[in-house]
Amino acid sequence: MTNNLGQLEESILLIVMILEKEAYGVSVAEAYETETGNSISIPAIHTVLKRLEKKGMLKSHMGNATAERGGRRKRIFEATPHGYRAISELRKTRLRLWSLIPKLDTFNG
Amino acid sequence: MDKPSPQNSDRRPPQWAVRFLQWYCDPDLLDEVLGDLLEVYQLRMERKGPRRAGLLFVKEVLLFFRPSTINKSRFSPKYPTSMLSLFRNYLKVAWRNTLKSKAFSGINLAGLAIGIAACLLIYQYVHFERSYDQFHEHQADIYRIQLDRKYPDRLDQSAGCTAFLGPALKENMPEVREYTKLWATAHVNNVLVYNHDSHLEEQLFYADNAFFKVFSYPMIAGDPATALEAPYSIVLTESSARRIFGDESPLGKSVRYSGGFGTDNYQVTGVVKDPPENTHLKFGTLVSFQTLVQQTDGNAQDSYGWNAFLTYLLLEPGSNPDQLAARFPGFVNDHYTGYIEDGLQVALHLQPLTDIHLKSNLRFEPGVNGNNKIVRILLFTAIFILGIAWVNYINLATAKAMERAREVGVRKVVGAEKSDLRRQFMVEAVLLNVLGLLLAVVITLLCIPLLNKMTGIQVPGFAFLKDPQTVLLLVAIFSFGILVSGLYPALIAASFSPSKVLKGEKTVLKGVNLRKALVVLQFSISIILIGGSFIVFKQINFMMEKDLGLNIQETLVLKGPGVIDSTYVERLEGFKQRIGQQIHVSHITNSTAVPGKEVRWVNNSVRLAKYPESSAVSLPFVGVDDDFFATFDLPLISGRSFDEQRQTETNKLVITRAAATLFGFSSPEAAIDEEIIDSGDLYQIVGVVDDYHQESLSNEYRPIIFRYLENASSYYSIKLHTDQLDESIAAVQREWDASFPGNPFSYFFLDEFFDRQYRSDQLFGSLFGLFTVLGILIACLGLLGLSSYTVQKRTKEIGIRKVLGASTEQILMLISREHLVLILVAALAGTPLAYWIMHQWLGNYAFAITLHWYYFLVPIILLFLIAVVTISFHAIRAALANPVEAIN
Repeated sequence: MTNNLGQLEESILLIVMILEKEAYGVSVAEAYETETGNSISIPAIHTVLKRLEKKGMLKSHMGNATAERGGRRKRIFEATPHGYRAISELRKTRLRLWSLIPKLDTFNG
Repeated sequence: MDKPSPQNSDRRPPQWAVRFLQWYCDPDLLDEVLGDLLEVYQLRMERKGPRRAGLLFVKEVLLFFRPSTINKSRFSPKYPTSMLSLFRNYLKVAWRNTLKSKAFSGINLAGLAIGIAACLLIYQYVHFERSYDQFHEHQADIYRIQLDRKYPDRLDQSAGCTAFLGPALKENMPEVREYTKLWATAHVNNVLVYNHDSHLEEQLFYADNAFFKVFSYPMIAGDPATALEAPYSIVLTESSARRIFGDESPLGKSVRYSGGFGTDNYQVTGVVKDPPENTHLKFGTLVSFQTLVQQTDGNAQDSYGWNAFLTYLLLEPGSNPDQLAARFPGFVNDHYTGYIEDGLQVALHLQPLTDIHLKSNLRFEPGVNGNNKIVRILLFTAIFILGIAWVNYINLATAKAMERAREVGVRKVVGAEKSDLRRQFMVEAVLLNVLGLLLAVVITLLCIPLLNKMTGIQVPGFAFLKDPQTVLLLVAIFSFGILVSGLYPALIAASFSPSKVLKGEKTVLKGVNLRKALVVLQFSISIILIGGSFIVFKQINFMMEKDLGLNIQETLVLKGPGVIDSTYVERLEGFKQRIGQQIHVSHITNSTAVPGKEVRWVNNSVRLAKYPESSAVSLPFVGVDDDFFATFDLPLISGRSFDEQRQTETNKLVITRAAATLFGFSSPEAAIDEEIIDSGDLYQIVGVVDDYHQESLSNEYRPIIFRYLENASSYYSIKLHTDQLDESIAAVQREWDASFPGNPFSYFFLDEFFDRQYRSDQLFGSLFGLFTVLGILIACLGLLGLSSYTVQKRTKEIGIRKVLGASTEQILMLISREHLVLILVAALAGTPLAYWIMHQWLGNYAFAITLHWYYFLVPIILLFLIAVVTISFHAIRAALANPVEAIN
C-alpha cells in the first residue's frame, strides 16, 4: 500500500470523507465544483476514485438505483482506515513544513 | 415504454452515444458509468440547456472510452474470434501478399500515389484561382458594376462606368452602404520624383476615400479613414515606398507626380501593404480621387458621358443583390436619358467581387483575369486522373484476388463468413489507399516548387487545408474512392466457392466484362487527355506563329517620358532624328498604343458626318506620327498614310478595314475622303490599312481609328537590326538621358510583350500536358500489371502453342489482341467526347485552328503504340520462354 497522494486525489479523498455515506460519481463531482470552483468531468472523477480504491484508501459497494439515473445503480465510496491515516499524515507533514517558512507571517498579517 | 414523444426525446441525451457506451463499456461498470452520466445530464440540462448538456454528454462518453472502462472481451486479443486479432491477421496477410509480388504491389501503389498526387497538385492551383478576393472582410457584400451599351451593330460590355453612377446609386438605392470609384491611368506613363530620383509607377489608380472602407487592403502607415480624402494626397504600396524613400519614413513627405494632367506636388498620406497575388485589383500607387475631380473641373465627379470608372458597391449586410438589380432598369430610364434618346440600350449588372477573377472579361478590366473554363478543365482532368488510378486499383486487385482464390477457399472452409472475407479485402484496400495517399502527399510537397515555377504563382503548399469545407469534400471524395475501389475486388473474392477453388479449378473467372469495361473507360479518358493536350498545343502554336498583319519583330519599345514641358515637341524631334541616324535603326515612331494590349483610348461618339447623331458608335483611337505604318509594315489598302510635310494632318484619320466595314463602306476605296465627326470635331479619312491583331488571337480584329498626333508620348517604337543589342540599347539610353533628363528609361521588346498575352494559355498547355503524361503513365502501369497477369495465367497455353509450332510474332499477337481491341473500343467512345470538349475550348478564341478529323488519329495511334510497348514487356518474355518450363 502506498501513501502517495496527488493534489486532485487529496481533494477527492477529502470530499468522499465529507460526504460520508453519500459519496458516488455525481455527488463527488458536484461537491468538488462547489468547494473548489473548478469544473471536472465525470470520467475524470471515476478515474480518480478507481485509483484511490486501488491504493486502498477507498472501498466501495453498489448502492440503489434512482429514476434520474435511468434506473441504474450507483457505486458508493467510503474511506478506509488507511485513507484516514494517509490524509492525516499528509496534514501533519504540511503543517510542519508551513511552520518552517520564516516570512509567512508577513503575508498572513 | 412507447415511442418517445418529442418532448420526451428532448430530455434525453443523444441515443447513439448511449448505444456506443453500452457497446464498448464493461458490463460490470455500465451501471455506475451510464447512471452517473445520465444523472449529470439531467443536472446540466436544467443549468445550461439541452444543447450544451448533450454536447458534454457525448464528450464524456468519448472520454470514458479508455482501457479501464472498456469491455476487455470485446477488444482483447486473447480470444481468437475477437475483431482485433482478425484485424491483425488481415494486416499480416496483406503485408505478406504485398511482399510476395513486389512488382505487382509496387505498380498498384505507384499508380494510386501518382494519381492522387496529380489530383492534389491540380487542386492546389484550382483552389488558388478560386481564392481571389476572398480575403476582404466584406467580400460577400461587395459588387462591381458592369455597364452594357448596345449599339446597332454590337454590344459593349465595360467595367468602366459613367462618372455620375456611383454617387447616384448611393443616393437612390437604400441597399448601397458605400461606393468606391477608381480611375486607371494605364494609358499614360506615371512618374514619381523624390530627391531628383524619378520612378516609373505601374498600375497607378485614382481612388476615392471610401476605397479602404470597401476593401480590406491593410495599411501600414497613415489613417485609412482619411488617407485618400484631400486632393493631392498619394498612398504608396510598401514596395513603392521602399523603392522611393529607402529607409526614410514616407508619411507626410512631398513627391512630384507627373501623369496625364501635368506635374504637381503631392503629399504622401499613407502606405498600404502590397496587394496580395490573389486579388483582381493589383493596384500600385493610389492618388486621391478629389485630385482628379479638381483636374477635370468636376467631370470625374458627375459627368454623364465619361465611362471609364471602376465602380464598386458595398451593400448593407444581408441585402439581396437581386432585388437591387431588379430596380436597375428603372434607374437607367431615369438617369441615362441622353443615351436612350440616341437610340442606345443601356443596362447595369452587378458582378460579385469574388467572381471577377474567373468570370469577368470586360473592357477596362484593371488587370488580366483568369479563365473559369481553364480551371474547370483542369478540375475535370484531376477527377479523370483519380478515376484512372482507382480503376487501376480495381483491375489489379481483382486480378490479384483470382490468384488468392485458394486462400479464400481455406478461410471459408475453416468458417469465415462472406462478410469476414469482404472485410478482409476492404482492410487491404484501405491500407493500400492510405499508403498511396501518404506517398502522394510526399510527392505533392516535393512538386509544389515545380508547380510554382511553372505557374509563376506562389501557391502556398496545402493552403486549402485551412478551409474546412474543402477538407471535408476531399475526405468525402477519398473515402468514397477507397470504398468503391475496395468493394468490387472484395465482393469478387468473397464469392469464390471453396469446393471449386480447393479442387484446383484455377480459372473461376468472374467479372471479366466489368474489368474490360473499366479498361475501356480508362483508355477513353486517356484518349480525351492526349487529344486535348495535342489540340491545346496546336492552338498555342498557331497563335504564336500566325501572321499578325504587322511586323513586331526586332522592335524595341521605350515607355515615353512622363515628365514633359513646353519644350517636349522640340526634344522629341531631336531625339527621333538622332536615333534615326544610328546605323542599326531603320525606323522610329511614337504612338499612344502599341500592339499587344487593349487600346485604352476610346471615344464614345464617333459617326460619319452624313449620318445622324443616333448612329454614333464608340471606337478605340490610336494617336500616331507619320512613320507608324512604315515602322510596323502595316499595309495600306487604299488612300495614303500620314505625311509630315503637310500642315493639315491633325484632322486626318487612317482607319482599319474592320472600321471601314463598320461604317458601312462598300470597299476600302469608298472610305477615302469621307468625313467623320468625333465628339463634335470634324475629321477626314485619308487612308485605310489592313486589319491586324492589336490583341491576342482570342479577340476578333478590332475596328481602330488612327489619328495624327505628332507629340504622342506613351510609346516610342524603334526598329533595330543588330546582333549587338546591349550596345544599341546603351546608345539609345544615352540619347534618352540627353533628351529627356529626369525621366526613367524603361523599355521592352514588342514581340515578347505581345506573347505575354499567351502566358495563361501556355501555362494551361503545360499543366494540361504534364497531367496528361501522368494520366497515361498511370493507365500504362495498369496495363502493365494486367498484361503480366494475363501472361501468367496463360503460360501453359503459350507453351503448348509454341510446341505445336506457333511463332514468336503469333504469340505476341495472341497476347496483345485482347487489349488492343479494348483500345479500339475506347477510341470509338472517347473520340466524340474529346471532339466536343475541344470544340468548346476553341470557342474561347476568335481565331482558332480547324479540328481536322485526323487530329484525333494522333491520340489513338499514340495510345496504340504505348499499349503495344507496355504489353510486349511481358508478352515477349512469355513468347521467348522455353515451352518445356512453361508446361512443366
